[in-house]
Amino acid sequence: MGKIHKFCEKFADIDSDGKQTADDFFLGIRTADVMLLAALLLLCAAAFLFLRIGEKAGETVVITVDGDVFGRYDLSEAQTVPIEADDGHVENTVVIENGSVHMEEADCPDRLCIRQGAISHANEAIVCLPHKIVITINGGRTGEYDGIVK
Amino acid sequence: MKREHTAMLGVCMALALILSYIESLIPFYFGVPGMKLGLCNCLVVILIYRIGTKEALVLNIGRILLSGFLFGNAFSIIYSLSGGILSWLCMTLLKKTKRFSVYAVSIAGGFSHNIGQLIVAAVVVENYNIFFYAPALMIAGVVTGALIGILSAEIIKRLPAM
Repeated sequence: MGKIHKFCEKFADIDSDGKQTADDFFLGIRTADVMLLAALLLLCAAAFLFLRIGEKAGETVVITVDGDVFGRYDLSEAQTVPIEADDGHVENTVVIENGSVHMEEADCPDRLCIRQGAISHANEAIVCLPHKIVITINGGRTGEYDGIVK
Repeated sequence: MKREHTAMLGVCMALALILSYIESLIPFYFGVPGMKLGLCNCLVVILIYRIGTKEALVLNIGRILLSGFLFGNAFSIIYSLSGGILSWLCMTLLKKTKRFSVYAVSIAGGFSHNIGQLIVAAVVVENYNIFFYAPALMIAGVVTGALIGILSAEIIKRLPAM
């Protein structure tokens, strides 16, 4: 009880003279906090813009399993792609329709890949961590010109 | 590590496991994998401020291994471990500067936890396109970090120094 009482006394001191002792610097928001928050939000915005600026309509769907390319598919062509495990049973089912891709079925416990929904833009991805499956969309051409000669 | 903290750390570990379980029950999901409230981070923040940074690291690693074996799988342990260690490192360093409040320390912790997880996830699946999720995970880390920071600050204020 003595400890608690002592702590409360210290707490009251801060309130009365408004100063913070070295041990109590965690109380109240400080200037450095706001700067850190602003820096982190700026970083988020920069990352967001960086990814959005390069956004273009996707053309091909690339499925990789464990880092290896499983298959490439045309985004405009409606189809169902089953992905089988080593023992032959279907682990995941990928559906391509109306210019977008989504995971239709998965036998993993969390099914986060299904909940990630449909993707349709270049560089978007659906990830299944338990099965190490990544579905990405590639844009067709990288730019209007192959190169610029000055 | 002080001997008298052993019992307290045991209690904290039990609490961390309960929080992990509660968190697995709450559907906190916004369309991005790996997004969680991080209730256990609250315990880590409190330990950093009230007992010590080393003890906080021990608790963090211990609860990640235990909750991973209980509720997750080998991969969730790898992701959580990388995020947990990175966030502990960032929080410890920020606290050492003595310029930041517990709110900023917690925000940096949430942010770095998500970044650490994402980097290891990219290495594991060998596909760097999953950095597409980076902005969403960054924002989520800041928001959950702020919430956990407010919660931790309120608890720390009411908890005597040990």
